[in-house]
Amino acid sequence: MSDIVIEASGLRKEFGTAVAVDDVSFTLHRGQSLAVVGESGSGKTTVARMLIGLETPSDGTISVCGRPRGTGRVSSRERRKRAREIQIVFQDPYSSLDKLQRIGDVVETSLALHFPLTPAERRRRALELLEAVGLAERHADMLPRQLSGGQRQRVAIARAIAVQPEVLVLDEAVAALDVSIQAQILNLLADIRERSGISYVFISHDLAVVHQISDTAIVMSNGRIVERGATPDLLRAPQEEYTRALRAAVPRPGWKPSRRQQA
Amino acid sequence: MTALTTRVRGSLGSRARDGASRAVRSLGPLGVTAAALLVLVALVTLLAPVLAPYDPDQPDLFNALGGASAAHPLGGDALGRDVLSRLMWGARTTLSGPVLIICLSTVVGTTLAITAAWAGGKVDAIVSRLLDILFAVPGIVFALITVAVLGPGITGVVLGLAVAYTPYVARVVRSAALRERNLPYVAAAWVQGRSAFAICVRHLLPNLRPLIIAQSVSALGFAVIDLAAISFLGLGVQPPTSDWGLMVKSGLDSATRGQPLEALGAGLLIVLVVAAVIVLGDRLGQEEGGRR
Repeated sequence: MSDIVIEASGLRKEFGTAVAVDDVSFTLHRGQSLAVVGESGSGKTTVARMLIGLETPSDGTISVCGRPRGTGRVSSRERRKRAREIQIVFQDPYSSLDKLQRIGDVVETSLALHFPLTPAERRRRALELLEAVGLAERHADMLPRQLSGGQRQRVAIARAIAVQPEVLVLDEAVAALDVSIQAQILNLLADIRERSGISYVFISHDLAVVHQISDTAIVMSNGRIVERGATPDLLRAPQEEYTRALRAAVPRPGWKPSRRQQA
Repeated sequence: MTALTTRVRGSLGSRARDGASRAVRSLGPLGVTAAALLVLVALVTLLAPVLAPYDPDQPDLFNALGGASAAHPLGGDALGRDVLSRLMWGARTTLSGPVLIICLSTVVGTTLAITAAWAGGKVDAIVSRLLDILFAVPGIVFALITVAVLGPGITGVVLGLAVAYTPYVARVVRSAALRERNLPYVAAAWVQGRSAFAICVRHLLPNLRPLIIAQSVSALGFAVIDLAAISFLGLGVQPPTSDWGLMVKSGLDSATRGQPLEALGAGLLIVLVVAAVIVLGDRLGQEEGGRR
């Protein structure tokens, strides 16, 4: 009985001569939440894109749910199978929904792809899913532009969990939202994990957010992992200079901006 | 704002009315005039058999080169055929050809554009270079080639111009499709396991539709001019069929003999229709630009 859902080893990704990701390895266990932390350009989004198969690694291997990901062409049947293993929620709540597709249809489309349901069952299931992410039945007939950023992100989460994946990758999924909405979405994600036992790969630059959602964390800089460990330890006593710098960049209560020297 | 004012569960009728009033507002007075003119021309074209006072092909020697009169408001041509009736019937050939050209080139162009944008890499490079080559050749030259192969007549000209107009649609649609294709919702659909075909037809095509329509309508204006020009040169529509391009040509002879109404009427109609189509295409394009 293996409860490892993701095993990545020696991941490397080059774009032309630039190396975006270099020698990244980690494992994710069922029901766990792993945070990937780093500043912009540290390669964390590239890791996410490789996990869900939008990029192929230049080197290294990924296996999800014990099945290795190859590099060749993938049949649509295999793609749907992979879809039930791993799903993603993107950062930008505005462009991650088709602006012409009604909210109910977004969820129904993903149900129709994966489960043999009658239209009535599908509709009912879609409404259940919307309710599970904190939306009401009246939202089902709305277009994305009629929803707020937080509500759209809820729709993106409903679309992803509709296929009942083992792993959900959240690529800066709350970064575009304001702090109170962030908290709501993080609570929602915690609820979903508790109910379904899903695993998260949580990609973020925001240590406060990471602290709330993850058990373990890896810190990336310039495409490499510089530190890893249990999230509370990592945040309380970072060993690496880079992690300390990241932590120091989080404003705290009582924080006074130091006045800049006039040049 | 529209998000708040549009009623979501409005009846179908009220939704359609909302759409109509929004269209009027976004077209502006000039756009509405252009649209109204085109609707009028389309109606006359369709109802030509009912509205035309005479058989357009029936010569009447008593009316040859006749001036405007109560019986013949625009007089007669060199053979005495009623000019007004010929203008009405001529609209059918003059306008149906360009509509066919644009339908063909829009379907082919959009298919090429979306395929290229989706596939990327080599496919995109080949399609793009092909479109560049087509773009470099003027439409009239293409029509001359197909006419040389198929002989004078509407079929050859329509095929030639359809090929020539394909890049007008395809190049613009390709760059928009490329932008759309890179949006996260497309990646999300792909990760969900949707097929490439379903993503292109269900997501890309509807989102590109306003742009495709705006671009096709603009191209339609130019197709009317090209087709009329080719008929004027004697390679397109063949006499005795009535056609505005042909009527400008035969009307030139009549004009030197004192009956300018045939050439003037046909020429003026071409100018009006082309101007209206281009204004409308421009407005649709602006609206599309404003939505982005």
